[in-house]
Amino acid sequence: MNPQIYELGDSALTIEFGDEISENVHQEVMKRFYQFQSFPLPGTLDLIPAYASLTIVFDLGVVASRFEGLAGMKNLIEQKLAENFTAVIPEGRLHEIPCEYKGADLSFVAKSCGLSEQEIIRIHSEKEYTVYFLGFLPGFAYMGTTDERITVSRKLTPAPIQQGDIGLAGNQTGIYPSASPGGWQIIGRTTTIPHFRAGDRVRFIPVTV
Amino acid sequence: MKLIKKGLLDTWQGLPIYGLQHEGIPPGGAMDTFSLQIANALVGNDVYDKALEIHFPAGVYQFETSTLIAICGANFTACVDNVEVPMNQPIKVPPGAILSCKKPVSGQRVYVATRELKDEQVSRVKILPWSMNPENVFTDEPIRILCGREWDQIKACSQQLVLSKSFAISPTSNRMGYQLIQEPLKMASPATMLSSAVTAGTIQLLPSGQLVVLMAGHQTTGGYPRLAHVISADLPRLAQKGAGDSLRFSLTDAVTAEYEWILVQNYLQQVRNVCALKLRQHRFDHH
Repeated sequence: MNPQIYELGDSALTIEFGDEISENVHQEVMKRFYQFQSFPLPGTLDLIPAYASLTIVFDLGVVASRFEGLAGMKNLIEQKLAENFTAVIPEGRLHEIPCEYKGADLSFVAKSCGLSEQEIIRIHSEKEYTVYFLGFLPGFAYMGTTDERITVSRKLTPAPIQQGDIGLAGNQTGIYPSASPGGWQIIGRTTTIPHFRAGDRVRFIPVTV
Repeated sequence: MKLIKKGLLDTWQGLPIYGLQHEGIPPGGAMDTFSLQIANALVGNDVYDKALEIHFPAGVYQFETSTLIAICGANFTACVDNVEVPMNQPIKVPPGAILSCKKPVSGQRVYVATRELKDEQVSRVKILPWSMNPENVFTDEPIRILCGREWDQIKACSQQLVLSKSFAISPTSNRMGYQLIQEPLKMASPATMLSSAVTAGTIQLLPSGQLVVLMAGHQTTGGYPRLAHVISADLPRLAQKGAGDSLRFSLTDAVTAEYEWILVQNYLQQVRNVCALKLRQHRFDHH
């Protein structure tokens, strides 16, 4: 799929590289994230990677008065995307997270997946996850993708969640870096919350405290 | 400045701070950046200085030193030592003076910019003889929006509804976003989208069919359909509306959004220049 560029309001452009959560699409997102971080377009204020997109936030005053607005920046981005960018993308670090699998929703998750709690723990801790991006809360890493056997839906109404709680939602998993209301199904908890970066890799190690 | 009585939601806010959204850290900042900048200009502060953003019921504050202040944004009947003082005008206050807000008249957020007067002993409240009254800003005109990525995914009748009906702002609204109340909007087909970046002004469609407008305290990413975006120039005006107020939307285009933004920026620069000039002349005359 060719990247599509669209306006996100009057001061940001989103480049969409695909419409699915996949390693390949995300690699492209990260490659372009580092390209536009190393060689920022004029007026760049923020670069926000997500599962399959990269958003560039501009200073509207700069792009409107000097670069024919977002339409001009769109052309510039198209040119940059056509260039073959070959800089080294920092390799993601591997984080091993000790996890005490005693979350409040573990039994619900087991029931709704038709598995035992032990199987949920085994399946969740077996796989190495990719940090796709950070969002929702400062430092909250969206990780995926989880095994389809442990896919669960979000709660209908958000519940209070503690710092370090580990949750599931759809085919994503994540650690709450601070207490907050949240809709993810909580299966465990950790006291280790590293400073995640998009592209990092994560493995959960079952522990009993 | 000393806190005498805590307000419901008073915080120091400046312009949004960008550059860390890839860490999940939103830019934040003042809801009404226009009034914030007028207030800062009136006291001769730097454009990046923070001002006190006050909601009603407001806190009560005592100045510990001679201070130059300016009160902008909402009209909450601001008083110094229980005497009402004008808005949008620089005011010198002596040490010990008490700032309070008596009654909300219009708007949702007051901005109080302060600058300590280090080489001057103020003995009584003194209102300086110039003001910057921003006209034609906080009007009741429709809030101008641009189409969002998923605008075409709602039914034509829902599009019509967005552009013709009046929306009430729900009491659950806050610095993160305004929930709007109207009959539910309908998607033409079920929405499936991946989370991606959002900005202040992004109008999302919730699964309930209601709209939410993201404001200054928004999160960095979101997964709901992005129906539209409030243009940057109209965000301060929207920020001065609150629970119980209603608003209408009108569609505009990117060129207008950019033009309006430049007009606002030029106006603010003009205000900064005039205020700097007035303050310099005032100091020259009095020393």
